[in-house]
Amino acid sequence: MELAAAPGRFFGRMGRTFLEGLAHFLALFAMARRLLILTLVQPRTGRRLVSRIAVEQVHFSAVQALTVLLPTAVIVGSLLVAQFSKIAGVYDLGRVAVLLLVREMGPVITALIVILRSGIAVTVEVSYMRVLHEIEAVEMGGMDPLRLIAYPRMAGITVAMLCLFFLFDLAAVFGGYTANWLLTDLTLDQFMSQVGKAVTGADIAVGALKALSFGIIISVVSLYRGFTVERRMTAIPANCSAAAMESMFYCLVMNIFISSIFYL
Amino acid sequence: MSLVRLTDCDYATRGTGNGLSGVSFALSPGEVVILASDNGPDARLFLRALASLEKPLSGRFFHWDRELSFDDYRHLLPYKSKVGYIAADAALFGNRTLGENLVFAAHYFGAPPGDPEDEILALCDYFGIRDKLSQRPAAASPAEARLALAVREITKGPEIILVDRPGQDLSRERFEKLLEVLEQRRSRGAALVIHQPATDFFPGPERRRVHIAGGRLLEGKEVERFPDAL
Repeated sequence: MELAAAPGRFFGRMGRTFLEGLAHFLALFAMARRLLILTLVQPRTGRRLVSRIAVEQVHFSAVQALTVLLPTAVIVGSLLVAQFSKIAGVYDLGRVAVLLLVREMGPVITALIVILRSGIAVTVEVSYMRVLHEIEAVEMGGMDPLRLIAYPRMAGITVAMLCLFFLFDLAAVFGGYTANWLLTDLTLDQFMSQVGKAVTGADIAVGALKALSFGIIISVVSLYRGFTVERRMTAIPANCSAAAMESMFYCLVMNIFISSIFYL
Repeated sequence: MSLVRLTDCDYATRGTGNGLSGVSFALSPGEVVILASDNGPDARLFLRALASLEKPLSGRFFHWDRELSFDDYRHLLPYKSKVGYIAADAALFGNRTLGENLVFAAHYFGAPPGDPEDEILALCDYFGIRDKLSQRPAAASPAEARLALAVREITKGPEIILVDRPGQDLSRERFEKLLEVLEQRRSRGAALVIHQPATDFFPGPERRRVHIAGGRLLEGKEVERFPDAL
């Protein structure tokens, strides 16, 4: 009897898991939609306070992240060029490095840094606000928590992601040139000429599109996880871990999606 | 016309409580309701329900005869801004000073940043917490944080003030001062619902007693069955 019921239980569990996953996915879309509407239609009330929080978020996510991002970009750029200098023709260095850095590695590594610094911080902050009833306090003041807490963080992280993507690429190209200068006899003019030939407007636009979508994904997932955490302290660490993993996974999926549309 | 009216509302269990079932309750301006319960979480659930922080499983909730919709939290914000909620689960923002907490909502709604309004400062003086306004809630004592919370909720001009155990963390002197301020607000038309397992602490004769037993709201003669609890 027990054995006969096993397949039913298995498929039942599969079905429930699928439906829960679907509901979670739809909830993320609903939150993203609400936040995008708040971006387009900004109520007058609270604009000054919301703008200030958004600027603080940009400062935290972009300016304070530079001490981590720039060295990382230089290291990645130089390592990439150093490796390619051994396996590729010298004059292909710029093209290959740019292809990998600007199109793929730049947005993904920037996203990783933003997830580790800002995404997790936002999830922790909002989770604490929920557990300690601070979100309810916002509501009891007649203020919309999505507008006051979520929107400025999403705007800040997305703007920061876009800025960091460009800075990462510049720093990585600089790192690439440094490695190139040490390992080959290619001059700066030749290297920059290769970079100039390899980088097209489309590459920059697609990179910016990726950065923009990653910023939205990271902020929406981090905020959603924070807003929906169970009301107990011990739920927060697991929730942060889940938010980080989920953000990274969705960013990689979006990266493949955008790359396949524009490059494949 | 009732300020707030709940009709046959059911609320899900929280913590070790029973939940609430079949709650029908109406509150008029200037009314004082003293709430007692055989189960603390149920009384707190009732206060949260009146603050619209809990969504009823069934039933209807009216504010000035206008039915509130719980389908979208944004529809509840205008009502919530008219409710003063002074309870253990009412929070101050931990990353802001007590002073910033007191002016936060006013700042959001357009008041220029800077010194708090005179009314806020006068109440802080009265409660003896003015010199603590530059501290964050974690650095203040529980009594100071609770009084700052009371100042924030009272000065937002609420129509209803919900208080859970007003004497908690407070010295006798500060407790009496808080009751005095609440009575002033009541005399200006605010309704008060106070959860306190004693009925004779609040000034004035016009008190209404409500008891929650087994997840049901009892009033009038039904309350007489629970004299010990009151």
